[in-house]
Amino acid sequence: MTNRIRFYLLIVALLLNQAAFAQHLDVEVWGEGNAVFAGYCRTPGVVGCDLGKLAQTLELPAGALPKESTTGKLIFLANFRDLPGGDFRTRNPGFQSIQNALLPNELISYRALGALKYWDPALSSWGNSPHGIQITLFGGLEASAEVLNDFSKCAGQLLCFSDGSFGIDGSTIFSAEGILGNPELVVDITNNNGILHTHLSFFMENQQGEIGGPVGAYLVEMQLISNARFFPSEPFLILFNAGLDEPALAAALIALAGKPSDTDPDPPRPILPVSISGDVDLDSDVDRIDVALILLAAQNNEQVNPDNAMLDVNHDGVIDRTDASLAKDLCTLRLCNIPIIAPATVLNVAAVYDQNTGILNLNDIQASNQHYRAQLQLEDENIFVLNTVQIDKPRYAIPVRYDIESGILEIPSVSTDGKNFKAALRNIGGDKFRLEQLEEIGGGLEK
Amino acid sequence: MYFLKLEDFESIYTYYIRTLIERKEASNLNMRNHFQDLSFRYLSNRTPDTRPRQWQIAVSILLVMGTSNQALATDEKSNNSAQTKKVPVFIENESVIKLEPIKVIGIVPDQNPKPNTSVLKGRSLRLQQSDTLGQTLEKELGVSNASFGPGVGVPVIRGLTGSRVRILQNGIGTHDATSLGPDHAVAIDPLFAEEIKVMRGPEIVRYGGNAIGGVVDVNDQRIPEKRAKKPISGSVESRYDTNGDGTNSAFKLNIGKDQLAFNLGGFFRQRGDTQIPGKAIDETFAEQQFGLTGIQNVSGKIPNTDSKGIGGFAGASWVGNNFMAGMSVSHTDNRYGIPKGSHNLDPNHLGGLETILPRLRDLTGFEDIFGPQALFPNIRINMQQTRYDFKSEWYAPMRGIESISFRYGLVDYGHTEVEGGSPFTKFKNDVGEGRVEARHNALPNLTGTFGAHWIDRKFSALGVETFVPPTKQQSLGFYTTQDYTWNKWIVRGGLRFEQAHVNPSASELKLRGSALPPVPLPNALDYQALSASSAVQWNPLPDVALTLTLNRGKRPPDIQELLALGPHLSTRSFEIGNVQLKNETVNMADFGFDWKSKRISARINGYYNRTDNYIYLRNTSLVYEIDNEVIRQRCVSDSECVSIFAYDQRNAEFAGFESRIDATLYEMPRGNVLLTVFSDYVRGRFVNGDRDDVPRMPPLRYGAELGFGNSLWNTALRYTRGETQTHPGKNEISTGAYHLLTATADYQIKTGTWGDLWLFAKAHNLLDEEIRNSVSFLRNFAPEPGRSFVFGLRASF
Repeated sequence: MTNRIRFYLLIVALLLNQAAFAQHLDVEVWGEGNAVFAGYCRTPGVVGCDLGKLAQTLELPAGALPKESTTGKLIFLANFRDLPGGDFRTRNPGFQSIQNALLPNELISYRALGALKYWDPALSSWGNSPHGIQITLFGGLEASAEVLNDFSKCAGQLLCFSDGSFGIDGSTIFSAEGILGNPELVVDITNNNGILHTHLSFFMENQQGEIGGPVGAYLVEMQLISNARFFPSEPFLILFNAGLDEPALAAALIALAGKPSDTDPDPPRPILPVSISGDVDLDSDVDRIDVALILLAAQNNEQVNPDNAMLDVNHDGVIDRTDASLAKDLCTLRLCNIPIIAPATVLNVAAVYDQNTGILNLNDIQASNQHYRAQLQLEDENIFVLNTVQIDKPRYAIPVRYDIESGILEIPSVSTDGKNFKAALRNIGGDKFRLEQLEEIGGGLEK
Repeated sequence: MYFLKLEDFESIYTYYIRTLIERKEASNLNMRNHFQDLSFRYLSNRTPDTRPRQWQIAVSILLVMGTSNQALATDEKSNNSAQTKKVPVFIENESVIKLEPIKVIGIVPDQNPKPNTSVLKGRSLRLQQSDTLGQTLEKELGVSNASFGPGVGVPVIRGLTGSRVRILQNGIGTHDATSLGPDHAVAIDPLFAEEIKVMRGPEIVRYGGNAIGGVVDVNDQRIPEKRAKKPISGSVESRYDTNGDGTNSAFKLNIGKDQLAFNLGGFFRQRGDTQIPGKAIDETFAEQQFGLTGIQNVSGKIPNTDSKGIGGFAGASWVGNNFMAGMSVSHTDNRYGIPKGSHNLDPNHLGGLETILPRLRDLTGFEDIFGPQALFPNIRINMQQTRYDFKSEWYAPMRGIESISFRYGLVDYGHTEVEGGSPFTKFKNDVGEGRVEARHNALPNLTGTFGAHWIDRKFSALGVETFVPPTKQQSLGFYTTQDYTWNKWIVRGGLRFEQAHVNPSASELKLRGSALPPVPLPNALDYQALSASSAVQWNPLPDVALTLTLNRGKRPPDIQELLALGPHLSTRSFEIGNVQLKNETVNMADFGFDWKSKRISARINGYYNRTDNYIYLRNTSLVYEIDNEVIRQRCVSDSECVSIFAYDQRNAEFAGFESRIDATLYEMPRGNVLLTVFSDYVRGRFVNGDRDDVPRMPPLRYGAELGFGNSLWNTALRYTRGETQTHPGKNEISTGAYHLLTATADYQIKTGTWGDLWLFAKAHNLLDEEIRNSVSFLRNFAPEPGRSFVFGLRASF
């Protein structure tokens, strides 16, 4: 009982601090092998993840977050009233990956799951959302199969969606009846360093699209998928506060999370990448946020330890304003120093090869009018063995094409180790494919 | 013995006509009455009794020419002196002069004023001159100023601007980036202008498809066209504007001897932030449009609207008797700020910094990256343009050809857009534009031109805002204009064939930071356009002219309309080009009435313009999130998203009028009391579908000006009422009505041989009204300037 009361108080403390955290309560994304992972503030120093204080307040193990007691799914917190734009809409949680946590140009999408749940403060219980109330999520449309980039099919327009019009359904609707609209939409694509930081747009509204709804807490479920990895992330939950006061929201959270002892004492942590000097938040550049984080640490007299060693830019064993000044001098980003105007390197391709494991992921194969996804394993120097294959929907603008008659698997672009190749494999029987052509294409796609 | 040859007469006559035209006196003198029926024969073939009469005519013509030249064009003294040397010889020796019979027609196409053309020059021009071309012309009927803050002022003619209005400098395009975005200034400093001609309505035949909405030609005479009347002459001007502490100074120097003439000029302009009566951002608009309440707003001035400009030119010419050739080099550097648009309005979005900064107690030493300017950076534009202009004219090269002229301009334009001190996009436009034109007077009553006109353009935009790929654009046009005069009728006609070629250098477009697949581009795009114009002018009475003009002109699509793909932050839009756009075709009927009596003159124009395949931006109902570089159907924070527009075509119609009546109310010994009443209006809307409005049209304007003065001094008080724009366009917010009161006064001091001094003062927006300009993209973020007083002087010597 003592533990429960303490946890209750700590949840209140968390909520009191919410204004600071709400803006960047990001879902951290990383990939390991053939799977994508979703977690929370696994990397110390990342913006909006002041977990040291949070963990201390909650008495949670470092890097932990409340989990649904019955399923173990992580619960992310968001607030519909965190923006001056008005109630019932929010951009949080965001999605973020640090340097090299994902592959360059890796496309991350979300997949909506389950049904919308509602915490009724009057009944103090979770149940279905009120009739007609839904949460609409607007994701990115770039990877939609309906996107057309052939002007001859778009009445001359350089870009259009489905038959020359923009009449695409670009929203995902979480309702009591389940998922409506488009269940999978783009979160974002990583840059050349595998970094991603983006926010989506959540609205609470009725079926007529009118903003608003009853006070309470709302719960949705989703998982992340990648075009470069076969396995999606574990499903996770997002809890939206829609006008509840702090104790009421804490009650809703406790009803889901159970006792604090239910939290994972030792969650898995991603491998921390090597950072450049001054890059405190590990986003592959030195910018104003890095300088601000160092100033904050200096102001709080933080001591150097293995988790915050990057704050000690001059390596003198002390985090002080000199480190911040040094980081400012190292600052390379726009509005800080000279802008880096990098050429556009967009690759929305369906094939990724991991040199370490020898796994070739073909995430969209078109054979006649049917689409598949498959995984092949390099067996010999030029021979790949088919591990898995399954029917799938069209996902990418430039899919891998398989000609059933000739047995040729034509890969317009396969990304590996920062380079892009055009490749062709021939089906030689026995689930084996022989590499017959491999040609570097230098980042450009040939049509 | 000296023979005054026929060529001499032709040359002198051509010279005389040209001088009159240049001085715009020709329209006041009915030259046809002077010269139409004059003919000369070989004197040797004349009987002795007729000879004295012929002599009298010949001498009187020469004297008239001499006096006129002396009165009107004293800078051609050397030429006149050559003539006066001949005359005594001619008379004293009573020599036999052999003259071919010639019929002299004093009509050239530009000579008769077109009802839809106005020329601003002299004192009117000096009083209206402002920092931008749009501001300078905004009082002209049918012309509005598309401002983007006070640093940008682009003329809008009858509701059209950008790619539809050609802005010329001495007949050659400015080739700046005004057609690409409303935040780009015209690369002309109006202070140099000696004359600004505004042609309303299509002027495609001579100037190409981009003149589908009209032409503004700024003549600054940087290439000397006449011999210098004095070895050194010139002018110096300086003015001060109380609004924004603006100073504006310029000088011109004309140096010449014999056939050689040189012009030099320079200007310097500087002003601070523009002062306004209320708040810069319309907070009601920000709340309605973006749902923002706690916005960054400033009262009393528009931040970041200071500007500084410096430039100069040098021109040199060789001016012979019937041939001139010259060139000029000029450079303009213009740096100006853009008022804060809807981005940076929201103090709660700083990419994550907003969560950290409130917790930092001491930012000493870090103000440069965490200060207000660093957090909400200004956007500034640094513009440079270097021009090389060439001009040559050959007068009367052969019988039937009045002149052959050549014009060529080489323009090196570039501007860098800077945010918070760091450059983020660089626009470059390298253009060569040329024209060869022969003007004929082959037949009685028929004059005209034949010409070829070409443009070779290389355009690129590199950096963050690369929404248009590097592209080459070439066009070649052949045209003819003919004027036929018969009694009280003048019939004009013109025809132009134009071939345009657009060639993007990239084979595909990739959108920076986006997961969109690369978009392939066509290799090249070709357009052919045949345009025609006709006009009939009838003068039923000597003071009355009725004109009906019919135009059918085609404009090939511009580069950004074809190939844009990406966010265009200044207009808060994401643009998608369309490579299958067709020519835009204007069909315009314009009826004009002109009446001039001794005390009253009236001028009324009514027009209807039906444009087929009008190119516009269609809202796709999708948005683009700027920071995340993602396309969505909807966005939580409208201030962080821009709408996605696709270029499309739709028929549109424009109808409007311009009217002006000038009257001399009282004539008194000390001066005359003059009254002018005026009004203009244009309504534009799409023809099909829901017939919604074409956005950013000027409102109905009307007003009156009361003046009192004489040739030495003048005063005037002008009141303009701009009505509410109730047709702002789809998803646009209407602008309110306003009262604009201005006053001017000037006084000329003759200082004899040293030159003249001209003092002037003007007051603008005396009522200090908050005026939101309906043609301005930024009207809800930057109102028009508040009350201002300008004082200046101009000395000429």
